[in-house]
Amino acid sequence: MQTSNVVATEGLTVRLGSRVVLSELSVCVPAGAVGLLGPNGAGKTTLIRVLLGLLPPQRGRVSVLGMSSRRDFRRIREAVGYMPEDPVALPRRDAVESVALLAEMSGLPRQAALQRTHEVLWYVGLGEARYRPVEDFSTGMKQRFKLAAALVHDPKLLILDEPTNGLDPAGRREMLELLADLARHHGKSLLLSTHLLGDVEEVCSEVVVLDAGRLVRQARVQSGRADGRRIYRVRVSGSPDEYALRLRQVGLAAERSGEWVEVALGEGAATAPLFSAARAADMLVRALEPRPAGFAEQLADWLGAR
Amino acid sequence: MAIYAQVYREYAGSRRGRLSRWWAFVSGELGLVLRHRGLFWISLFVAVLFFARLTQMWLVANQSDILKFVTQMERYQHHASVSARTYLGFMTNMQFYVFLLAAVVGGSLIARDQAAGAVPLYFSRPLSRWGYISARFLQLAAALSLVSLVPGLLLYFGYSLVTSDWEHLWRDREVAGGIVVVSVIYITSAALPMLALSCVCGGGRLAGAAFAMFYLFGWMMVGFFRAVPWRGGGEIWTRFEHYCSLLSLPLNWYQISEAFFGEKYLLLDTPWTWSLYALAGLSALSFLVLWTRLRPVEVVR
Repeated sequence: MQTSNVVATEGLTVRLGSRVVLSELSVCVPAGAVGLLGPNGAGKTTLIRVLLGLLPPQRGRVSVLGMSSRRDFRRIREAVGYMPEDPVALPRRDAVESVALLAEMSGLPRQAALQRTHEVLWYVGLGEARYRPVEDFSTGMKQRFKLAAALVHDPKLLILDEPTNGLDPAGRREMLELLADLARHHGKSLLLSTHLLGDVEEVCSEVVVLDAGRLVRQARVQSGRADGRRIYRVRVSGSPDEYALRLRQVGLAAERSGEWVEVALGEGAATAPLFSAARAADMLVRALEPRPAGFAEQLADWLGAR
Repeated sequence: MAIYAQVYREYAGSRRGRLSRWWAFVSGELGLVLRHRGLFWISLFVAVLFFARLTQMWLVANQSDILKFVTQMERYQHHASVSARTYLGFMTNMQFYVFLLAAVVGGSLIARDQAAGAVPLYFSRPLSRWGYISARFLQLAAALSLVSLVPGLLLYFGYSLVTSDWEHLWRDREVAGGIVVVSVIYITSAALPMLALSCVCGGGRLAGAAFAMFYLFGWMMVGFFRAVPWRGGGEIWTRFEHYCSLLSLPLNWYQISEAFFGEKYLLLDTPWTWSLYALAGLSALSFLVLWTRLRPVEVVR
C-alpha cells in the first residue's frame, strides 16, 4: 500500500452478522476530491466506518493517511473530518458550544477552538445562526453544521457521507461550492460518498464505484463527461495496457478499463488512428464502440456490466 | 456574497494530548450536568438536612440542656450525642437523594445523545468507547457526590467548626473514611446501573422510571415480607427474607453503611460482604451492558 494514497485498503472484508458487506475490497484513493459511488447497500457507509475505526474489519488491511485504522484510530480521527449521513446535534448546545467542544476533543486548545469555531461557522454560512440550538436548525443548516464540525480541527482529509441529503437546489449548490472550494483552494482531500452522480461530477476528479461490497470501477470523472469529445471503447487482440500506451504515444487520451481501452477523440475526429495504433503494435481491433457520453450512463454501464 | 467567499484558514497551532482531549469532553459536558434544574432542587433538600444535622451537633455541644428531653425517649436517645451513628444516619438519609438525582439527571445522559445523534459525532473525534463511558460516569458521579460525599465531609468538618473540637478531625478519622467509602459505593452502584438503563431504554424519562422501579422494588420486597402472615413463623422465613434483601439496592446500601460505620440497627443476618458482592456484581453487569450496547454507529445486520 502506498502512503501517497489518502486511503488504501487491501483484501478488506467486513461481515455484519451473516451478511458480507464488504468483500475482498482493495482500493487506493489518491489525494484530491474522490467520489464514492454506488447504489444503496453497496457498502459505502460501512467502508467509511471502517476507515474511521468505528467498525472492525474481519479481514484485510486498511490505511488512512498512512496510518492503520486498527492501531492508530485516534490519530486518524485527529487528521480526518467526518460528516455523518444522519442528522446529528449535541443536545442542549448551540452551534458555537457544539463545534467548540468537538474542536477541543480533537486536541485544539480552548482559545484556538473558540476562534476557529467562529471562523468555520461563518465559512459554512451559519454565522448569523451560530448561537441558536442545533436541535432547532433546519435540515440545510444541520448539514452545514456537520460540515463545520468536520472542518473545525483543520483535517487533511474530509470524509463526507451524503453531504447534500435533504438540501433544496440552492442549498445543494452552495454545499457543493463549499466542497469544491475546500478541495481546489485549500488542498483538502475529500472522500465524497453519495448516490447522486451530479455531486460527484461537480466536485470530484476521480470516482470509486462500489456495488455489493466489491469494487466495480475506479476511474477519472473527467473521462466520462460529455465535454464535446467522443469516447470510444476498443478491444484488441493483444495487451490492453500496451495498446493504451501506443495511443498515448500518438497524443490520444487513453485509459485501460478492464479488457477494454477507452480513448477520447475530438468532436468529428476520425477513428483511423485507433486502427493504425493497433497495427503498429501488431494487434487486431476486435471491437470498437462509442461509449455512452454522460456520466450517469457511464455509471449505469459499469454497474450493469457486473 | 457567496458563502464560500468567507475565508477558510488553516490551523497551524499546537494540539493537546490524549488526556487533555478527554478532559475537554468531561468538563465540557459537566457544566451541563451541574446546570440541571433537578440538581438544584435536590441539593436544596439535602442542604436543609445538612443544616438540620449541623444544628443538632451544635446543640449537643453547646446547648445540651435543650436536648435533655430527647434522652428520656429511648428511641431517640442517640440524637443527644454525636457519634458514628450520627454520620451513619445522615449518610443513609442521603441514599434516597443519590437515587433520586441519579434517576433525574442520569437518565438522559446517554439516551439524549443517542436520540440527538450525538454519539457518531463524539466518536468521530479521537474518543474511545472506554473514554466515553468513563467521561459519562465521572459527570454523573460528580453530580451524585454533591448529595453524598460533599455534604458528608462538610458535616465532618462542620462538627469541628461548630464545636471548636479540632482534634475530632484526627480522632474520628474512621468516620471520615466511612463517609468516603460509603459515598463511593453509593455513587458507583447508582451511576453505572443508571447509565446502563439510559443506554438501553432509549429515553431519559423511561430510564429514570426504570431505575426508580428498581430502587422501589427493593423496598416493596422487604415490605411484602414484613406484611405477610407467616412473618415470625420461623427462622427459615427470616433467612429467606434476608437473602432476598440482597436483591434490594437500598438494603445493600444500608448493610454496607452499617459495616463501615461500625453500627448495627437494621439486623439483617446476611454478612455485609455479601451485600458488597451484590453491589459489585450489579455494577459489573451494568458496565457490561454499557460496553456491549453502546456503539459508535448503528449497525443494521
